[in-house]
Amino acid sequence: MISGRIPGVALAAAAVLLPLALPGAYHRHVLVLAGVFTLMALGFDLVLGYVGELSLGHAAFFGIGAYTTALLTRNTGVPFPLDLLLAALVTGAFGLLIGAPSLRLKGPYFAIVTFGFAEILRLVALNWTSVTRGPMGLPDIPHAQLGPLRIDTELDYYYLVLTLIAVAILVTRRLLGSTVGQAFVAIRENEELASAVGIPTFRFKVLAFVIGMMFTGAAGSVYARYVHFVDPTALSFYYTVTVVSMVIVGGQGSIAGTILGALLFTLLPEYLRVAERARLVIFGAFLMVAIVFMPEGLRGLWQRARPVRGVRVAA
Amino acid sequence: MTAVLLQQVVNGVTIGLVYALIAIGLTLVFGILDVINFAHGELYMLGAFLTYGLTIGLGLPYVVALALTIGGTAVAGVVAERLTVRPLRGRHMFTVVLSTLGLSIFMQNGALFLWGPDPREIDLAWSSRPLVLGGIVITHLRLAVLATGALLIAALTWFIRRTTWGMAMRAVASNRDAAALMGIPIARVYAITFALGAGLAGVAGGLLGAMFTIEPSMGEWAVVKAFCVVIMGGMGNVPGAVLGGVMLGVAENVGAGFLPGGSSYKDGIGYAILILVLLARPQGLFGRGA
Repeated sequence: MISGRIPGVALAAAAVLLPLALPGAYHRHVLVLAGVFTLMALGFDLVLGYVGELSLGHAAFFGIGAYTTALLTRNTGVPFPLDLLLAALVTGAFGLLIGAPSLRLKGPYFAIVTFGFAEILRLVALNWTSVTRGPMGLPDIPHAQLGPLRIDTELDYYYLVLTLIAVAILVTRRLLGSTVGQAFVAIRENEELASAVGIPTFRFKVLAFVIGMMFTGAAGSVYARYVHFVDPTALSFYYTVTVVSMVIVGGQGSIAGTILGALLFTLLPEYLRVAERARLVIFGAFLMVAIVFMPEGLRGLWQRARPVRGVRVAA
Repeated sequence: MTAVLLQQVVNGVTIGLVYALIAIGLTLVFGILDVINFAHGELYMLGAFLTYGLTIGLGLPYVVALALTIGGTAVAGVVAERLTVRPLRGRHMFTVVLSTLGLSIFMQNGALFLWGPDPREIDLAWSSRPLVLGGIVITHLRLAVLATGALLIAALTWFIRRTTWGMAMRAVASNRDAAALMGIPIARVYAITFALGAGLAGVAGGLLGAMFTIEPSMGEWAVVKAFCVVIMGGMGNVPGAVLGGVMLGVAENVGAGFLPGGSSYKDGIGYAILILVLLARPQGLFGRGA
């Protein structure tokens, strides 16, 4: 894997220094978006890439995180790191609520339950106007303040989201390095066999889903702070499609692949804005071609391009 | 009160038959190819625009336009299968979800690019003429929709039950490998399945398009409704999809009329049913178990 060949430290350093090398606020803004999407995608991949379940309601969990922070800061004045923590917890609780009944089902049902859940939640956000103000959304979400430190520029938010990504990667690594991670992969590869050797597959799937949704809720919370505003479009299926694309095109079950995919699918629609009306036409065609020609993602392409490590052909 | 209820039931059955037409394609493709086709709603949208072009643009009679729409969208379905499903055969279901999602985004935005976002009407001179039956009003258009829907569902049932290709489809659905060993041309069965599903979705677009308005994003909610119906009926179950479609149409219309604040949550009724069915009877209301 990429991260195995280039030391993680060098990549982390590059991520820290990157925005300083970029001129102008716009590019930094795109980087913040890429960071938010990366965090969301890492949460998504924990479920798809490691226990093999496809959630088609990912945007709902992003929205729950965003609305939690919006409601907390506007109505109660909860200080900064606390609202982020609560957003992650509330989103995780919703993950438990949805995952506990639906992850018992085999087949594509989980995908469809999560899809239906996201649509219901979007309708609630649109129609429960006394709390969410419906389509008008919730404006004036204050900037984050951490002691004397005020987080209000693109650069500040970039480093905030980068910190969260680092936490998410560490948590994912720790999980995967433990017996829990081995159980995850066993479930992904062959659920019946895993369950036959005594792995409580259902409980591990719920665990992966809840942790993944906590990352996603945190991404929503930071995003709400960053744009000061949240409305029901945060829950739209478009975001789910974008995140699914990131992880599958990047390479599921791989942190490096996910980050690569997140960068690609943030930059592509953003820089395609020059194509204006044809933007999403090109996006759709690209997605289709990318999947048909590299169904294992960019990571699969990378692995095919070089010989298997450790195997030497005798001269 | 009962007249109002009956009126809503009749309206619900009409819409429900159209939901059934859309859902049949989705459930057939799932049952036979093991593929969730996310571009199915866009085939429905394409059908609506085809019917619009043929009736309003070329001035053809509605029935002729519907027949041509079935043919046109069936061809589009075969092309869709070639582009997004066939190259990924043997791959995990999720990769096909994504390739059909790509096609869906491409088609929806392609339509937006070509025809713009404004809603259009398939405005037929006779469509709103009413027929009054004991206090219940049915427009001529709704009658035509009821008749066309019932006819097409009967024709499809005959095709699946009585023809050689229908038998081949059932064989592939029950055991793909055994069917292939018996010499059934799997690739052609897949193409026929897609053609059938797309043709029915297309004609559904032409029918609902004449009752409401048409726009490039109309496929989005259609595929969602079709999901609800497919789950209610049991995935891969065609009679189940028909019953599920009618039930959803009736539930929505009666619910919107009688629930407090019903019309704003009308679309939510489907999802609520969807989630309840999935949790209580994931094999569908009429399934015999997985």
